[in-house]
Amino acid sequence: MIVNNNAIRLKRQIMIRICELFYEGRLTEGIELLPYELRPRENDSTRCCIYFDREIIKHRSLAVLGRHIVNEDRPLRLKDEAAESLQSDNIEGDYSLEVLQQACAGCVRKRYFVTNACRGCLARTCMMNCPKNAIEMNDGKAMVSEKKCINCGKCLSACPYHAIVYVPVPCEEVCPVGAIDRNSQGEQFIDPGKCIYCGKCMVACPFGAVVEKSSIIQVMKLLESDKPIIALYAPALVGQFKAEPSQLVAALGELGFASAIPVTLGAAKTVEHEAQELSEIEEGDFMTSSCCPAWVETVHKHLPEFKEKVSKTATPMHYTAEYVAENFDDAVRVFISPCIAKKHEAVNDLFVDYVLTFEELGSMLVARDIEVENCTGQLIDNEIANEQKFCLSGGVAECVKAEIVNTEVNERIINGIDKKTVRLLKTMTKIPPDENFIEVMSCRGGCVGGCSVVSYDRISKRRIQELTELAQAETESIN
Amino acid sequence: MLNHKKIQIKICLGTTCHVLGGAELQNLEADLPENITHLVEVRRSNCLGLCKNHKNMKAPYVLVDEQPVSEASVVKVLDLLTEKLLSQLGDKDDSK
Repeated sequence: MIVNNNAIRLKRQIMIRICELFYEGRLTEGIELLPYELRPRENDSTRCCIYFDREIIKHRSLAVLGRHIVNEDRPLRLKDEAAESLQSDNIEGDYSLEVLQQACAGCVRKRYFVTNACRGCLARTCMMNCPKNAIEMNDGKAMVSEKKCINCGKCLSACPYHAIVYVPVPCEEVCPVGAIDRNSQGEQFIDPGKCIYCGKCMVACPFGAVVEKSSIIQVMKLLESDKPIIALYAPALVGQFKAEPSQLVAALGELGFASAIPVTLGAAKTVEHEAQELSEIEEGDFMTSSCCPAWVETVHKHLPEFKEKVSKTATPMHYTAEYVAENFDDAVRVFISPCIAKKHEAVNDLFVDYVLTFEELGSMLVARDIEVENCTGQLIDNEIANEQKFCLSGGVAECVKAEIVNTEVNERIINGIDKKTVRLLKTMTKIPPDENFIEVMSCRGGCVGGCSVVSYDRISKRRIQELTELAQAETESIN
Repeated sequence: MLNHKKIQIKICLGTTCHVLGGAELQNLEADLPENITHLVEVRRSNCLGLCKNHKNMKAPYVLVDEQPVSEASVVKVLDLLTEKLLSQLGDKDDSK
């Protein structure tokens, strides 16, 4: 998972600027200047011209404001949209991922392409191996006829100069379920009937054309109000910054959260129930984890035969939110998430009011000049629960194994949902696996590799493992 | 044998630099060419305060011998590092 590319940087720059304007109390006044601030005349443009850059920035700002992006031909009034957003308790519409047509570069359909490394050789292995006679010589070099090509790839393997390349459409390449495709109008389109909200297309698009809506304005408004707002933070948050968990909690406090509850709390309940469920299934049967919402959506939309196999246990987010709802009257509950899929889960969850991704949280911290490493947290509860592992691939299985009694757990870890794993899982509906517990996480490495994280998954993982070992050592020394 | 001081590289770990892509720089040491690692010292630091100047948009920052690299990437840092190492070598020749 790459955290540093210009598309992601631009998105964060826009978010940070919008947060700053909000905190200065000048969102409606200042937002129209935002495209000019980010693309001043003297700078180089990223696309054909500064004006196009600015136009796209306007559209991106809409998504950050939680408003519908505009794909039709009509004027866009950022000031009015900002005003609407400030008055709304929720985003406009839903959290579907959409393609911003203005930003989409309309990548040429995936194809095999002969580069100028071609030497027009005597052997012509490409032509000799093509089952469809799709390769022609043109001016002494080979050329693939798109009309005849069936994308088999034989020419690529055959060329001794590696002169033939496969040029993918990045979003389509990375989507595990074929949800993003060209529609009849020739536009890249995400089919909401197929989308699992994993966010991979958003991260993969080199033009940053896939956008998500934020409820960041709504959360910032609430934090300024008199209501108590409680942050429920996902286990993955702990590895995101180079700071102690208590400092993270303090940083959340500085943003205005009344308190911060780790979702490992709810995870303990998930482990308890899931272990119980697993111990009750029949010999030879299997069960899958249910905490990854992108996985649950995959089953719902693409693997209906798996429905019965997914654990009925609720997610750590749900149990934590339920606990907070029961114990803190009147508080607004905001889940701090490493991904977008949780936004969808939250829509249907009575107890979760809003979701803020790590990226959105990071933008708020930057806008308020809050240095997490300089925050001083209360040192009382630095204990890292065992369920911290939930954000690492293999972690859920580990916790369930440690909890279960009288049942042997034979686990299969699905580390990342991609086209290959979806095909593999489809086969499991016909040929049941040998294992009895399948842990599925959409993001490689687990939640630390989520689509909205601010830190490299390898580094977050190491950080979390360090903290877990430290906590274990402390508990052992106390005992 | 070069007797020069090691070139000091400071990677800013401040929140602004981090959110705007600083995480990539954590791998800097791994990307240093083997033959120069002994000439360089890589340290991490809390917020270097460089982000305040340009309204946060030029982060992440890295200091190479106190010279700031804005919108830093591993490649940009290595470029400046190479420049500095070459000029150090140049000084040595002059002093002969």
